[in-house]
Amino acid sequence: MWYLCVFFHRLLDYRRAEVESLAEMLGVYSSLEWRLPENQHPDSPFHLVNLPSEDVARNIANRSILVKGIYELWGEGSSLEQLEESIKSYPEDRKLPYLTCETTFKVTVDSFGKAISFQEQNDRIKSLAYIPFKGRVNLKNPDINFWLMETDDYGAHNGLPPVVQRRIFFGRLVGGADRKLLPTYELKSRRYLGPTAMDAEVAFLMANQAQVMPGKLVYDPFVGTGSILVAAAHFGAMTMGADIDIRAVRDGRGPDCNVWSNFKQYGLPLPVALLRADNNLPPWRPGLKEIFDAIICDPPYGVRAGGRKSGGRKLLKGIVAPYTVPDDKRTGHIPSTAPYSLAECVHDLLDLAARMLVMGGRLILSSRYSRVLLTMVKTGSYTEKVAEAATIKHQEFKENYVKRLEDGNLHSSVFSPVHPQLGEETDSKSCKELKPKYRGKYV
Amino acid sequence: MRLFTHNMLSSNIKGVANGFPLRIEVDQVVEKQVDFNPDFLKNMFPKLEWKALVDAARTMGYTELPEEADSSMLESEDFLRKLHHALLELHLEEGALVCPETGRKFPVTKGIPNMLLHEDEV
Repeated sequence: MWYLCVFFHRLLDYRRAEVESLAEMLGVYSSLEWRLPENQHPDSPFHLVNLPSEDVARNIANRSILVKGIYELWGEGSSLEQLEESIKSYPEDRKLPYLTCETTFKVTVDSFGKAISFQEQNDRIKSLAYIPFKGRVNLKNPDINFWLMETDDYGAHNGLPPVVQRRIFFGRLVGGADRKLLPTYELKSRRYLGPTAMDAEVAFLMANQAQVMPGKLVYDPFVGTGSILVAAAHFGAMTMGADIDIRAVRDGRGPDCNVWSNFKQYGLPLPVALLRADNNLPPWRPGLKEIFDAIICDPPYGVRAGGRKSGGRKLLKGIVAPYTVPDDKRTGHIPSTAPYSLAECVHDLLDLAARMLVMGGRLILSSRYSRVLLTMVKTGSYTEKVAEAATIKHQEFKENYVKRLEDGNLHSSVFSPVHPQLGEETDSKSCKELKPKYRGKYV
Repeated sequence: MRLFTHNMLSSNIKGVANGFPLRIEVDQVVEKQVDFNPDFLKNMFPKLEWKALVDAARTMGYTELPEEADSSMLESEDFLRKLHHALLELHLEEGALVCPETGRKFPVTKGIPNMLLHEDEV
C-alpha cells in the first residue's frame, strides 16, 4: 500500500536511505518503491512510499530520526476543492473505522515553507466538515491523528526547494520519529566531549543505517568520546570501541567524565570493551573474522583532528633505526606515533570491515570532505586474493594522491563549486549573484 | 577488560608467529552484572576460541566452564548462564596481558588494555 512519507527538512540525501535501511532491518527484503507527489521537487519533504503493511510503516517511522510522519493518505489536491473531491473518493471502508464515535481524534494543520496563522488553521479545519467525524476531539492524547499539510509558493529565495504549485495533503498519522531523543542526547548536555564528538542526530542516523538491533555487536575503531556508540547502545547493541589515544579511552577528563560516564549518563549498558589499539596494526588474533555486525565510525580526516599510527615519523621514513626501549623503562613507556594519512586510514578501515564484518554487515563512515555519510554492505567473503588486490589498488591511489597533494589540486578538487558551469573566469562578485539561492542538499 | 575481548586479542609484535592466547596476569578482578542476552551468546559462540576462554576464566578464578563445548550445549540455560558470566561479567580491572612468545606485557589499567606497540616492535 502507498503511504505518504513526510520528512524533516534535514540531511536530505539520507532520508530515503534511512527508510530503506530500516525496512530491510524489519524484514522487508524487496527494494522499496518511491514516488513523488505531483509537482514536488525531489528535495521536498513529501514522498510516497509503497510499504507492505501498516505495522511496518509504523515501526519504520517510530524508529527513524528523519521521518516526520508516515501517513495513510486520504486525499490530496492543488486546492481545498480538489482535496475535498479526493477525500470523498477515498474508499469509505478505509475511512469509517477511524471516524467512529468511540474514538478520539485531533486534526493538526501543518505547512512547509510558510506559516499559517491560527485563524487560517481553524478555517482549514472547519472546511473539513464534509468528513463525517463522529468521535470526540482530544487535543492532548487522541487515538487518531489527522494531519492537513500544505505547501505553497513561498518565493524562491528562502533556501528551500522550489514549489511549482500549491499542494494540500490530508492523511491519518501512522507513526513518526521520536525526535525527543535529540534533546536528550544533545552534545551540549553531554559530560565528556571531544573536538570531534558526533552530533546526536547524525549518530542516530548512522545507527539506523547500520541497522542496529538488540544483541548486535557494533565496533568503532576511532571511538574517541564514544559519541557514535552511545546512539548504537540506545538501540540495544553491544558496543566495542578502540582508540589510539589512551587519554581518550582510559582517562577522559576525570573519574566522572570519560567514555564510561557518557553511557552511564543516559543509563545505557556500558561498552563490552574499550581498548587502546592502532587501526594500522590491529591486535586481532589470526583467524578471527566475521564477528562485528556493524562498524560505525568517523575516521580522523585531519580537518579537526588528525590521525596517528604507531612508529615515529623518522622511523617510518627509514632515517633512524627503531629506538630500543631499555628494559627498566618498558613499563609506562609512551611509544611515538606518526601522522596517519587519510588514504591509509581508509584502506585499513576497509580491510578491517572486509575481514571482521559478518556477511551482510554494514560499514558506516562519515566523510568530512564532501559532507557525506557512506554506507557499505559486505557481500562477499574476505580472502587473501581480495586483500592483495585491495593493497595494490591502495598503493596506486596513494601515489596519485600524494601527487595531487603536491600539485595543490586536492583543495580545488574537494572544494570546487557545486555548479561548474559558472566558469572559472567569472569574478567572485558575479559568481555570488549567479549562485542559485537553493543550494540543494547542503541543509 | 572482559574475557570476550581477551578472546579476540593477540600480540601483534613484528615477527611473533603465535601471539594467541595472551597470558593473563591478574592484579584485580571485578565482577559487573550485565543483562543476560542468550541470542548474543549463541551468535558469538561459534566465533570463540573455547580453550583460550576456559584457561582465561581459570586464571581469573572461575572454574565452572566445561573443558569441551559444542553448539548442542547452547540449548542449556545453565551453560549459557555460565558462558555469560565468564564472557561478559568477569572484568580484569588491573593487570597485564603477556605475549606467549616474547613475554612482552601489555598493561591493563582501569579495565582498558593498551595494545599499542613500542617503536622497536612495529
